[in-house]
Formats: sequence, C-alpha cells, structure tokens
Amino acid sequence: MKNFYVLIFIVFAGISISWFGLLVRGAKSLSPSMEFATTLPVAGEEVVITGHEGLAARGEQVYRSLACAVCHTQQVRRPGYGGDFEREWGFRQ
Amino acid sequence: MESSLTQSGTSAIDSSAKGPVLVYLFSALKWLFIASIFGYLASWKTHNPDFLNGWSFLTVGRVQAVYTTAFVYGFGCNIAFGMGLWLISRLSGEKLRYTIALIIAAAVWNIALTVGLVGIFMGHLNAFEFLELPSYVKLPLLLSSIVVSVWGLLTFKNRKNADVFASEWYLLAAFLVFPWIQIVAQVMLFTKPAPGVMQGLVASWVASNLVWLWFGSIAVAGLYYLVPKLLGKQIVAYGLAKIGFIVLVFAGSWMGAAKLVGGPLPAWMITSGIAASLLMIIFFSITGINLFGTVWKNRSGICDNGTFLFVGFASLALILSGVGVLLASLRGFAEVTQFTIFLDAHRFLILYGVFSMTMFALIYYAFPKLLGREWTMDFMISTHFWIAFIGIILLVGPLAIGGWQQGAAMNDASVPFADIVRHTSYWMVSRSMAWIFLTIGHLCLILNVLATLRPECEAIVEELTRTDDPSAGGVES
Repeated sequence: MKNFYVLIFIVFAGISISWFGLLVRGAKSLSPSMEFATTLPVAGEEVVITGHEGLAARGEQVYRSLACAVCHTQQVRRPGYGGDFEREWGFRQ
Repeated sequence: MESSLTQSGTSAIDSSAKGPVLVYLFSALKWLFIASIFGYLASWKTHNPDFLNGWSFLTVGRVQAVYTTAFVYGFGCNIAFGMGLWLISRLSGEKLRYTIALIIAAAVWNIALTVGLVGIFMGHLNAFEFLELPSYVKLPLLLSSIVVSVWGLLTFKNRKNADVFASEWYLLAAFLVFPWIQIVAQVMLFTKPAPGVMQGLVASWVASNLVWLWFGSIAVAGLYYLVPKLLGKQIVAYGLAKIGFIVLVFAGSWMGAAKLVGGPLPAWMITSGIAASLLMIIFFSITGINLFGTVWKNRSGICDNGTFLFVGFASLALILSGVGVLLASLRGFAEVTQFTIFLDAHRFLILYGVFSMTMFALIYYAFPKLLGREWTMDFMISTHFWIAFIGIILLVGPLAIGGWQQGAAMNDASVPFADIVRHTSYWMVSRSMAWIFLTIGHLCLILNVLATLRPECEAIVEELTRTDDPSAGGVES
C-alpha cells in the first residue's frame, strides 16, 4: 500500500460501500413502509400525516431548540426487548 | 536524528508547518478551556438541575450541546487538523506549501464555530448528536475542512520519502472521510431529509464514522507515529498493520447501525452493524498488539517520561474501548446498556482516553520541535498525565457501573422511573469531580505552553505597553 491512488481507492471503496449499502439502500427500502407509518387514526379516520402542524410543530420546535435530544430519545424499543412497552413509553415501535 | 534537530533548532519541514500547525494548536487549546468549563457545568446540572436554570441559554440541554460542540469541533477538529498536517508533512518528507490557505481555513473554521456556538445558545440547533451546530455555519465548516484535506492529500502525493508508514494510511483515510461524512449529514438530514426513522440511522452512521474514521484514525496515526519514535523500537507485528487498517475502513464504517438495536428498522440493518462491530475484533487485536504490545514490551522507565505515559495510556484505552464496542454491539448486553450513561462512559473513553490523550502526547512531542526549544516546565507533563488519569478513572468507572445499574433498573418496569433518575444522579457527582481534575490537567497544559512562549508573550506585552505610553508618541518626529 504505497501507491497514492490505491490508498485513496481503498478508503473510498470502504466508506462508499457502507454509505450506499446502509443509507441509500436503506432509505429506498423504507420509503414504502413510511407511508404506512405516517397515518394516524384521527376521529375514526385514517389521516396521512405529512408533517407536524399546530401544537405538534411547536412541540418539535421546543424539543429541538432546547436540545432535549441530548437526553430524551424518541426511540421506543420493541416488546420483549427492554421495558419500554411495560412502562408505556410508547405504543408502537 | 534527534541531535541533528536540536542543533539546527527546527527542521525545514517543521518550519514550513509551524504557522498553520501553531494556529490550529492555539485554537484547540482555547476551545479545550471553553469545553472544560461547559463540560463541568453540564455535568453539574445533571445532579443539580436548578443550578443557573433561570436563563434558557444555560439550560442543561444547551449547555451539554455547547460542551459537545466545543470539544468535538473546537478542540478535537482543530487539533486533528493541526497534528494531522504536521504528521503528514513530516512522514512524507515534504514541506507544507501555500500555508496561508491553511491559516485562512483555520480562521474560517474558528469564526464559523464561534457563530455556531452563539447560535446554539440562542436555540438554533439541530436535534442530532454531534450535529447540533446550526445549519447556517455548516458550509463554511465544510469548505474549511476540504482545504485541510486537499492540502493533506497533496502533501502525501508529492512526498519525498518512498516508504509509506502505517500512520500515513490512517491520516489519508481521516482526510478523505471527514468532508464526506459532513456532506452525507448535511444532505441526508437537512437538505433532503431521509424518511422518518432513517434519520436516526443516518445520524448514528455519521456519529460512528466521526468517532472512529475521523478521530479514531487520527489517534491511531498519532500512536503509530509516537510509539516507535519515543521507544526507538520497532512495532512488534508491523506486518499485520495493513489488515487492521483495511478492517477499520470496511467494517468500522458499518458499525453505526448496531447502536439502533431494538429500534424500528429492518433486522438486516442492525445485524449488519453487529457483524461489522464483531469484525472489528481484528482491528482492535492487531492495533492493540502493535501499540500497547510494543509499549508493554519496552515498559521500563515509562514513568520517567510524561509523553510516554500519555501514549501508553491511550494505547491501553484503545483496547478497552474495543472491548466496549464488542460488548455494546451484542443484543443481550445492549438491552441493558442502551440509552444509559454506560454509553457516555464508552464514548468518553474513545474521545478522551484514546483520542485526546494521543493528541496531548503529540502536542508534548511536537511543540518543542516546532518552536526549536524545550518545554519550560518539563515536570508539568507528568503532572498533567496523572491528573488526567485520575479524571478519566473517576469518570469512566462510575459511569460504566452506574450505567449498568441504570439499564437493569429501567428494564424492570416495577421500579419507578423517578427512583432510577435519583439513583443515577449520584453517579453523576463523580463525573463532576472528574471534570475538576480534567480541567486542572488542561490548565497544566495551557500554562506550560504559555510559559514556554514567555519570550513571545513578553514581546507582545512590551509592544502593547509601548503604544499605550504617552511619551512614546513623541519619538515619531
């Protein structure tokens, strides 16, 4: 490993394989299921949520601007893995 | 070689690198001081949340974000740029050219960072770990780091030394990866955000690569340079170093996904992250044997040399943080430690125990070479080490144990959450004490730098007082 271009190629290959394999492919595979995840029952109807509005949008603003994310995660772990469901920290994964 | 250096003061390569490297070094020390204050404050607030809580800009979240940003982008990146450039020019046997561009890049970086930190205080921050800086300073930071990367890569490309040393692979990887992850973070989180839960994956990919392929690479490069230099001995299994590097580049960049175990992501993503973390055993074994093994083999007299203590500790911490990576990636272990202060302890061990300790060693090694004179307070190097050592033990040990207890209690739904919070806050007191030690250590370093620069400082003071003196005005005519 003495050649400049060989070294560049190795590093470039390593980082781009993980970027493409994990993030690009992941984003593509998740896009269809996301539409399912963004519908919520509101007054008996399934409503598609496109973005946060009203109070939710203001809550998001507060959460972000006070750096709540430093301690508070939004991830709820699946039933049987950790105690998140038993503690009622969320009702879906 | 050492004697020829001391006779001629500084070598031609060092004097070419002196300007930008010292600018980065002084900026890093300034940010280290700021980060120490906010690190202490952020820690103190976790067990005394009402302390200084009257102003929104001093609430715990923002103080923590300011501390992380000042430490990672202020101290970490500045010192990584400076020492990375110094190492690459030394190892390539090639002068740094057009250094004015690097000095401008350093100015841009530090001004943008200052603006960004004020922005964080004002609440313009983003809710991703290590990416809290407001969006409006991201472009100058990216451009500045691209300049450093291009200069580093070109210096290597035009090298005079035919031999390529292990440090240079890691430096090259770091220079190439850093702008890349900044671009991925900006595009996939802010410009064109990835869908919902994918943002979590992108953020943890970026954080993991920032830690391992940027700071980790720079630290390993520094250790591979310092261990044989300080000992005057060969690396014990240098032939294997190549494999370690390739594993870091290919497996290390996948590790981020393992952090999201139990999250709402397809199983293959998590599993690939866990597999990558397990593959990293190869990297940690080889690098551990090469660095700590070489130090251990030649350990006699280690306590007499402060710089050497830093190197020995950092190479041991690398092995320990490797064990942490492996354990934290296992599903059963992560079920307890996920979302606990155990991960804080682990993160700190990597960023401080490995990265910062290596950088301190590099500063203690490089600064006299760049200046052409020895440290004024030589004894302070060991003092700094032992104070930092106590600080790290006080921080990592209690947080790791406390984190395990915290996680075990959180998984037992019958334990009230408020009890867990109260119990965890006791461990945090130890972290605040640790920050006092760490801050004193940083002051030792800063004081030593200032004392060594005393002639320059006195000249500046004299210059300033002369212009202030009214009688000096008459000399003009």
